[in-house]
Amino acid sequence: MELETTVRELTPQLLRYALGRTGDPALAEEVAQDALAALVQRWRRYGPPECPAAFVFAVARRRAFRLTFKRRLLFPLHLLLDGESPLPNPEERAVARTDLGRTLAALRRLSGQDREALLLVGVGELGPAEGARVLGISVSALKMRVHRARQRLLKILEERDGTAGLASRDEAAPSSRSHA
Amino acid sequence: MEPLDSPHETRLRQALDPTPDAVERVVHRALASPRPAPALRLLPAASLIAVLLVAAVLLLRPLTPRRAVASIETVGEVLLVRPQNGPVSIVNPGREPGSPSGTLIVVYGGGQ
Repeated sequence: MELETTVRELTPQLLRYALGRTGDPALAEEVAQDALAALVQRWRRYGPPECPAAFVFAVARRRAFRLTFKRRLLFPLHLLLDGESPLPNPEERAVARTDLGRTLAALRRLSGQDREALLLVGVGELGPAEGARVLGISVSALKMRVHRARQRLLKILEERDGTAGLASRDEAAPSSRSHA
Repeated sequence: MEPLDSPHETRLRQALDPTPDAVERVVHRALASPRPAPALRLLPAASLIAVLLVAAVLLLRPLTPRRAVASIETVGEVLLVRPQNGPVSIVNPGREPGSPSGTLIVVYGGGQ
């Protein structure tokens, strides 16, 4: 197992997870970078952790929580100091109309626990055992959360699109996924 | 659990997929992250420990015995105060009804 290979393999998964978690590409990059930097330092100092994926996702999860909490906390101050409007700007409105925007909006409608489980397993591509380890729950509890999240997400997207779900939208907009 | 490659899962991953530029940027920065110097990393903890140690020393150190500046001795009803420097004082509670203060103080020089 080599450090650089592991980092390269984990980065796309981690970025997807962080984007789903924060809803902000810039913040997602910061979260992923911090988590991977922690892995790199750990690796260089003490050798590879038992499960690098679980290690890095656990760090990313904590980091994402802190950053989103901080952003929410400082949001009123930014409004006051920068004079920003609380309404979405044209760029944000454009993003909201994209596939990414719709996906993020749908994810936000899931409960926190279900969303976290789905993001780790479905988006971050962690195995059930690793995901359960990151969340500190049993594998069966994780499976239950993921199943519930999938059902709920499918329902939300069906309601929104008035179609048979995400699968049918694959054909309609296959290449609208750039966000960075 | 449903298979991970269910269509909606794939769609979800595609929607959140990062660009190759973003991946490269993150990989490069993560691998280039400097190792924190152990001394700097331990600085806050070391400062706290130092402050606690100083506080503990100040609070818990045994009081050094102070040098006596005078000795006080009672002889019957008379109190003898012998300072290291200066005159010896003799304090005697007066019992005579005529005494205004009820105390007789006799001071004689030499300090011995």
